[in-house]
Amino acid sequence: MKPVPFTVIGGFLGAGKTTLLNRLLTQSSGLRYAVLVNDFGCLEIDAALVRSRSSETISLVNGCMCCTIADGFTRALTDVLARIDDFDHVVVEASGVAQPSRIIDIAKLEPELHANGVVVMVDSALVREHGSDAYVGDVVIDQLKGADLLVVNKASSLSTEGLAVVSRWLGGISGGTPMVECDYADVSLELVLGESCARSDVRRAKSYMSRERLSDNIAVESAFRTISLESTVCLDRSEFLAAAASLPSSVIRGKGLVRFETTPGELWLWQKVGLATTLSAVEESAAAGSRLVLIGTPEFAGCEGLELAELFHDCDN
Amino acid sequence: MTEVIRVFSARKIITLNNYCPRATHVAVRGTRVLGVGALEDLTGWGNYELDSRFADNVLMPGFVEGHGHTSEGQYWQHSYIGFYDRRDPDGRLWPGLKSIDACVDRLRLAEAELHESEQTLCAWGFDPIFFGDERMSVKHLDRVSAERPVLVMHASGHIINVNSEILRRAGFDRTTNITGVNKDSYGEPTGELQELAPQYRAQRVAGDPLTSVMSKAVLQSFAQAAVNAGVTTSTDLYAEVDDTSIEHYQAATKAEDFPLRLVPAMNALSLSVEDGIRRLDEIKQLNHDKLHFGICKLMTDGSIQGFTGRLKWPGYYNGRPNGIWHTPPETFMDMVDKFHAAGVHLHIHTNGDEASHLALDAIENALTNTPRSDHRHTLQHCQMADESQFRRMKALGTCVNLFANHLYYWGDQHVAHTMGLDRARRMDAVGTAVRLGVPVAIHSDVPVTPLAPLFTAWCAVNRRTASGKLLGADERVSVAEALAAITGGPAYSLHLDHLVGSIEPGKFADFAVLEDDPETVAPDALKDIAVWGTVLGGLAQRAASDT
Repeated sequence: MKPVPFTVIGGFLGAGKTTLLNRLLTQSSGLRYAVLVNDFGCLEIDAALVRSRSSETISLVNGCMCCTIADGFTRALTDVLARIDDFDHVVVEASGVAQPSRIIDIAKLEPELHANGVVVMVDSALVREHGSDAYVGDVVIDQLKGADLLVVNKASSLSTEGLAVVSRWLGGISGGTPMVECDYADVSLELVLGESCARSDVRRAKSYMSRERLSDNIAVESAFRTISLESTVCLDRSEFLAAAASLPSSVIRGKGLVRFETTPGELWLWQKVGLATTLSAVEESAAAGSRLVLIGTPEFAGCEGLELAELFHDCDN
Repeated sequence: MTEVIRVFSARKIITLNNYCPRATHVAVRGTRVLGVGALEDLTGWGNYELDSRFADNVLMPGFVEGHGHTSEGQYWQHSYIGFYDRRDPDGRLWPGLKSIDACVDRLRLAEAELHESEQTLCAWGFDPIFFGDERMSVKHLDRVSAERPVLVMHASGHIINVNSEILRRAGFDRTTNITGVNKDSYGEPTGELQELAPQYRAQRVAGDPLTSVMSKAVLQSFAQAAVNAGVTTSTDLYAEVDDTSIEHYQAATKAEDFPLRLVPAMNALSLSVEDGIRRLDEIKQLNHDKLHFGICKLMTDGSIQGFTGRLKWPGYYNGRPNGIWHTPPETFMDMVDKFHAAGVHLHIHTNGDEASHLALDAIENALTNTPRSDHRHTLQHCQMADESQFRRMKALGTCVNLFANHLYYWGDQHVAHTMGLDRARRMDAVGTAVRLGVPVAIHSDVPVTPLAPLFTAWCAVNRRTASGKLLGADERVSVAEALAAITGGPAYSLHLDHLVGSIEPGKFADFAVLEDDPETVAPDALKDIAVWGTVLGGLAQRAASDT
């Protein structure tokens, strides 16, 4: 079986983690999430969606499962791994005082999982105050530094200038980590979790807006831009790496299977989340050539002027 | 009432009561004390049988361990390879090992005893601090076994060592670049693993040999360890309260000859606060003489020697970054507030002084919202509290249970690495607690350090590290104060002082039976007093010995 993506969601109390996790659990896209959370009590799951529950686990009719990890993470994780074939994605909520970078390491070591990035939710109005809190300031800053992607939530609660100040402050701490702004944690799951990247086919996609209904009163627009690249010949390895390193910061995630001129018989898996990229040899598959998918914010200009696109035959916006 | 009255005679009885401090006889009816004093003072109760088996012994109130874990009973299923001598529950003395090679030798013997080829060999108690620059590595553990997984837990609780077989199964090699997979100068993993992810992977491929499994046998083993140490009441200070665990507690303690009163503390995170409050009420209905549910344990931070305690400025002496909050402070404050409002009795683990500051803030906030008399919430370990924090404890009516054993087992390390000399001299300030009138107890946190209250009392009286260094002369307490801190002090912190902690009418006939007199031996020799065993509810229990 292919490794299941494993994403860690960090962020301080009130930053929007629970809102995001609620969305994952109650979505009807067919994706089966195993979600590990600190506290069941904060979740708002319609009773109609619940198939069964115990003091430690809630199973939903849509195939999702939620486990509590307040009392220790490893037991819930072991249970999930025992049933990993039942899930498409494992998402772990890291408390505001945990170290998400250490949690994601689990996926780097476990063959059944693949590390899908550390996403830190940020309460844009309060983050600077939290960052200088006497008790937790150091931990808040560490989490921001360790993030692969920052979700700047409650963006509309600040003025444009206010938001720019916070973004600059975040940039100074995190050093170039991509940031996405949203309200009510309504950031697109493609950006946050790389959902199209997680699918087994790397297939063509168009840029589009998808609408989710969070409740009867609120409809949410998720926005992202994806392009796909294809080539029938092998790529120059150093050119590829250089071009991949110079992708604009509006590109949040990427995934591809590529072949290189110097190693024609080998297939390589390239993955990007935020500033972190990995390149690893994978088993030979029947497909020929190289193909890649990039996902970015609406600001991402797509194939236009993209150095990486010039290395491929085809770039589909 | 036709219950027999038995009168025990002794060389001396140290009663720790407020009206007759020393006696020669104690009258017991059923499981409780009728009276204590001279024989002629007790005959008025009626016909009695004289039991003079302790005529040459010294009796004290049975010791109360206010911070222990029954997992001690489980640890001894594995190999002990610590630096210090340690006795197992069966009374066998395991000599301390003074070199890594000596650890290998002991493990090779243990390995030869294992029959199942798949079973992981586990060891505990190892501390590299004693071996200078030499670190344990796969080089050593592969000599124990090249095929069988071998896993060693460090005494600090934060590092493990594994052999090549576990590295191979886990997929750890020179290409592994994960924090916690320590490597040598050639870039090869040494087998030393830190941090959650590497340790989780290693334990998983080794068959999760260390999953804690509480059982009646584990509790019986722990109870025997208690008898060996003169302990008659002990906490199990991070208990699961699911139905199976409750059944084990009941099955063990209902046995008439079970030689210990258990006080399991519900792990506050095992359920939501609301469910936890309900569960506590449910399980309290099951209480009997040897089983006392009701207290609840919360944790703020980690440990100082593991660099996971939360410290105030200036932080760790060697510059390590500050430690880890167990729970977000805001959540912690809210939990304390809710439990306190529901009348729950809280025991709060706090090691660093930033952590104990938060604990005091939380208790203060809870009391402001819900005034409550005689709550006796207890700060556990509380190793770095300064005088200002002790004054807050006094003002808030909080108890403190100090980790006096750390002075010996980690004192030198605290001076050199974690706190520096100043803060080490004022650590575990039993003297200040007594001086300011904060109700105080001292503990072992078994199995972190051995269960041996007389040794813990010795630490509070002498404050000497393993190398003999004196840490804070003015924080030393008298023998009398130390003996109170292993009897009435912890009993009070557990709301059990009406039942145990001194020898007087109405309380359980629980005694520590000693070969020597703690009031007359040299204070330096307090730790060397041999324990004959205990009496629990009038029933004598002999310490296990390997002779």
